[in-house]
Amino acid sequence: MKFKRVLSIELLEEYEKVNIYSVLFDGEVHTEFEKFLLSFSQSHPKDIGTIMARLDRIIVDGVFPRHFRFAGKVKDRTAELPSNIDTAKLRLYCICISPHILILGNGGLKSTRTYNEDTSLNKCVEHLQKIDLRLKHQERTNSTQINGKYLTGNLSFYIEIEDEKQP
Amino acid sequence: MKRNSVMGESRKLITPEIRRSVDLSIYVADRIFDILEKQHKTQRDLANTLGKSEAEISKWMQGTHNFTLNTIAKIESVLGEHIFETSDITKQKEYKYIFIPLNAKCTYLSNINISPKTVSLTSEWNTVPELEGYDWCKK
Repeated sequence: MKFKRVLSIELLEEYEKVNIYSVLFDGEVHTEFEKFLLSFSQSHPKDIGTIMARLDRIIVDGVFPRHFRFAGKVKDRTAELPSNIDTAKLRLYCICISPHILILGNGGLKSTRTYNEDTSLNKCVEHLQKIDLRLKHQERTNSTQINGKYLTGNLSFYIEIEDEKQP
Repeated sequence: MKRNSVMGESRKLITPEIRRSVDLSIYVADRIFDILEKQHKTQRDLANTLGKSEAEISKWMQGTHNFTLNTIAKIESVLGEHIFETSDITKQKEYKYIFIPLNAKCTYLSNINISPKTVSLTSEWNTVPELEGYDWCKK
């Protein structure tokens, strides 16, 4: 059963070169990325530390597509931020909007060969793909604009999701 | 500029080892990328030369791979360039020389009111310059 989920794209941190955004679903206190950190910081401190260190590099160097593993279809901007640790199973999904803008989503532990085979991870990626699609449409109609490291205009909209359960 | 408290707390989990490991991994990946660009080569070219798959090279370029020294040496020999800058491995020493006036005595430097000139040189013996009115002693 499909239903509409209202969300907003929230600015988490601002730096000289890069701005980090995340997704805040209506009625929730934390953004998707904050939920990810809060869920795994205690159980997987090394993985979280590695992901944060990688984000710190992105903040300094910029958002380069080659540093990500693209998760969805060829034309979408949804990507996975890979961990440094070869054996780590923690995955974070995001949208690489531009060299100066990164939207961080949620993620989780990958126990299957591909993310599609895992219900929870698949939901994370699907939500981001829908958000990406919506943002692209809004960029084309100029209701959302990319101004350097800023996303401006309409950053609150809805996506249709399949399940009633939260990601 | 805006900062997020949850992210700030999570940053406390970054140990010096994690930070260094991430920095080195990304450094190596970016160096390979830069060298390939400079040589107008593709990841496929590198893959073919090394007998690896493109997927594996692509994974290297993500900056997450834990390279062995042997692999780095192999990549360097194929690309014909060092991944790590030579000066990092064989750093040249710098020699500093203090030049003192000719009528001053080196032994009692602390008792003499002099205006030393300090010059940094990379060669210990061959390139000590001559400054009129000054002699030198090595610092």
